[in-house]
Amino acid sequence: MSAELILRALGFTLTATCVSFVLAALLGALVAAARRGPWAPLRWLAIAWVSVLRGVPPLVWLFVAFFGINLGQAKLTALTATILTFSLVGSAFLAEAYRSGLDSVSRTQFEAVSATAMPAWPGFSRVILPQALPVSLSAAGAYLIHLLKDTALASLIGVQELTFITNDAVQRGSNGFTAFLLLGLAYLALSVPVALAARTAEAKLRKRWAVAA
Amino acid sequence: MIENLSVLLPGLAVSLRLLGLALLAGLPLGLLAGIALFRSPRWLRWPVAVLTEVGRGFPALVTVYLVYFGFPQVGVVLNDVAALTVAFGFTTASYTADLFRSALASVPKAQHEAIAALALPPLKGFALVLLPQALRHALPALIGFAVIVFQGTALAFSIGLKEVIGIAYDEGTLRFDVLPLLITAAALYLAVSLILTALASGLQRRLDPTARPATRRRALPRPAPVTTLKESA
Amino acid sequence: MSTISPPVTALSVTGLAKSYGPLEVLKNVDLDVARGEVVAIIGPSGSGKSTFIRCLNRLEEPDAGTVMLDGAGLAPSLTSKELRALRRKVGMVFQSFNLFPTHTALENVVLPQVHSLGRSRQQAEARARELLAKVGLGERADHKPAQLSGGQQQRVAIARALALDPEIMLFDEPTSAIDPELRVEVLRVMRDVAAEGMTMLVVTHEMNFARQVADRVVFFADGTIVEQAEPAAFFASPQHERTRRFLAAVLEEEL
Repeated sequence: MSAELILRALGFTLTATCVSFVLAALLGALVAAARRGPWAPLRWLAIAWVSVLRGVPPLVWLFVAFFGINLGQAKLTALTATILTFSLVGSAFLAEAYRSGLDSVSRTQFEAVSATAMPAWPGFSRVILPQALPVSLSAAGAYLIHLLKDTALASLIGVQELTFITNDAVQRGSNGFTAFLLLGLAYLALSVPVALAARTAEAKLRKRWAVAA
Repeated sequence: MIENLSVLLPGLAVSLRLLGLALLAGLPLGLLAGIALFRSPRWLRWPVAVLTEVGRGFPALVTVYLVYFGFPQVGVVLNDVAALTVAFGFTTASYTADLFRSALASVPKAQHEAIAALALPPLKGFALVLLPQALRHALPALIGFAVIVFQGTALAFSIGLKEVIGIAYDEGTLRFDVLPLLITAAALYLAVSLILTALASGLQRRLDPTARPATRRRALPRPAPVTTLKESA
Repeated sequence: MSTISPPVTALSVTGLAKSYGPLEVLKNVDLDVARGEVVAIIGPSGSGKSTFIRCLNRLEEPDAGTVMLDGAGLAPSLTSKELRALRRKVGMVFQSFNLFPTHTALENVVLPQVHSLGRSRQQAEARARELLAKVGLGERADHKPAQLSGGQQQRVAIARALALDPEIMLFDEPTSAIDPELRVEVLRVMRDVAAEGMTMLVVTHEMNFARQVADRVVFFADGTIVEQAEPAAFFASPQHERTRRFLAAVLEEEL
């Protein structure tokens, strides 16, 4: 395997992970807002969105996106299908991450915001969010690592990311034991900085919004 | 839809069988590993910690490939079902080890003190007092994890074993129309996942009624008002 | 307050009712409160007294009845803008303080002023320091709630509510979650606020406060007002059997 091939594959893995995560984070915020919003039909839609997307293996969604969607004659490319799939599936997981953060804030805090006549946005951003964010962030960090590993599934629809090129090399005669062991360790190595970054961000937030000074 | 369902149902049997095998292999191992992580000499705890880190840190697909394509290189040749059982069992054990460990850690300290105060032998105290409480505590999370294992069985596709998604793909390709079968497959997975999830949250409610958001309405610590005792008469 | 001019009604409640499913928490409650009056609301737990004052600033939505503030009626359902206007006029102090845990005492008092009243930060901070000094916590302005005792937290909460210059203050069992020996400092602050002429409705189990500070004691049981009177008369000669039973139980506890 050439270094160039590996770097290209790493690029696919990281692109699929990062782009999906950013899109999922934005979409997930909308889903979480709908879930807590005042409009019942939207709440039900958000609940359905989360349980349907999480209740089906991501591999199945990946196949639906790649083999199932025909826009006229055009098909999605494998990478687009991957990003589409994980953005949608991720939005369900991250909506739950946001929700767990909001749920961790006591109901009495929402009452205190109301009773002091604070408008919705400052009340949310200055009082509720600082309390919810550390909880949400650690759940989101855990999902990012999960997502990184899940992008290995993209190899099954032909995205030439890390798992694809490793499997390809093994099918052509490389030692499968060493190759897959190294591949797994590579994923572990990639998730370490993610875990560290998430932990640092969480620690920073907790410090900034410490409950005790 | 009905017809598609009848095409896929044999695949569901395969998926459920894989789930059963994974749990059968993974849960006892996970429990032992969890006990080791909770309390054991360092020489045992360390290797167990590394192995469970690997089991959780590797993508499940990579673990499947490692067992199916890699193990033969070191002399262990397994057929598809056996390889999947080993791979899923290892992943299951790695994840549940942590669930068991934290369940053991969640047993209140007072219980340990009670064991000591009653002069129960440590092993008996562990098996008769701590373990049952921990298992009870871990049960909902374990069922929740079973949903993830069940969804993971779709990975059997990657080594050519025909379960739900494999059959849907093959049959769909033959018909030049994969979408209806894939959607049916998704519905099947969803149905099983929802049933298992409902089971888990039902259990959670029964085992730990305080943890329900529904009861958060009046979650304020209300000190007993001075009047209740005599007033309620 | 001057006793010569006729009392001005600050708050007038008629026919207030509220149910949770089949459970009737409030049944047709009427109450008029004069400006500057201090009303102590007592009664067994579950009698609806907390729900009653929570209906006054619409933390609970009443099912029926009217609430008039300063002679102006409140619509049965308020827009969020009207709700905020109401809550600027009606301050509330909670049993569990409900300070914002991520902000210092000073910030807790500043934030609502800036965002609810639109005061400048400078103005808000000056007012906050003044109020914190008044409740005896000038030195603790930079402490987070977790670093304060229950009594201190509750005094910050009172300063926070006062900072909006409300016309009426509601207190929902303000000392119930505080260690007995720290209650005094909170009760003293409440007494000072009362002495300045604030209209106050205080749900409480503190009989001494009711006796000494309140202008009127209102006894709630089973979702209605059973009896109300001036404190001296109320404690000396309760008219209803239900009141007598309650007082006997409470006063025996206090011995």
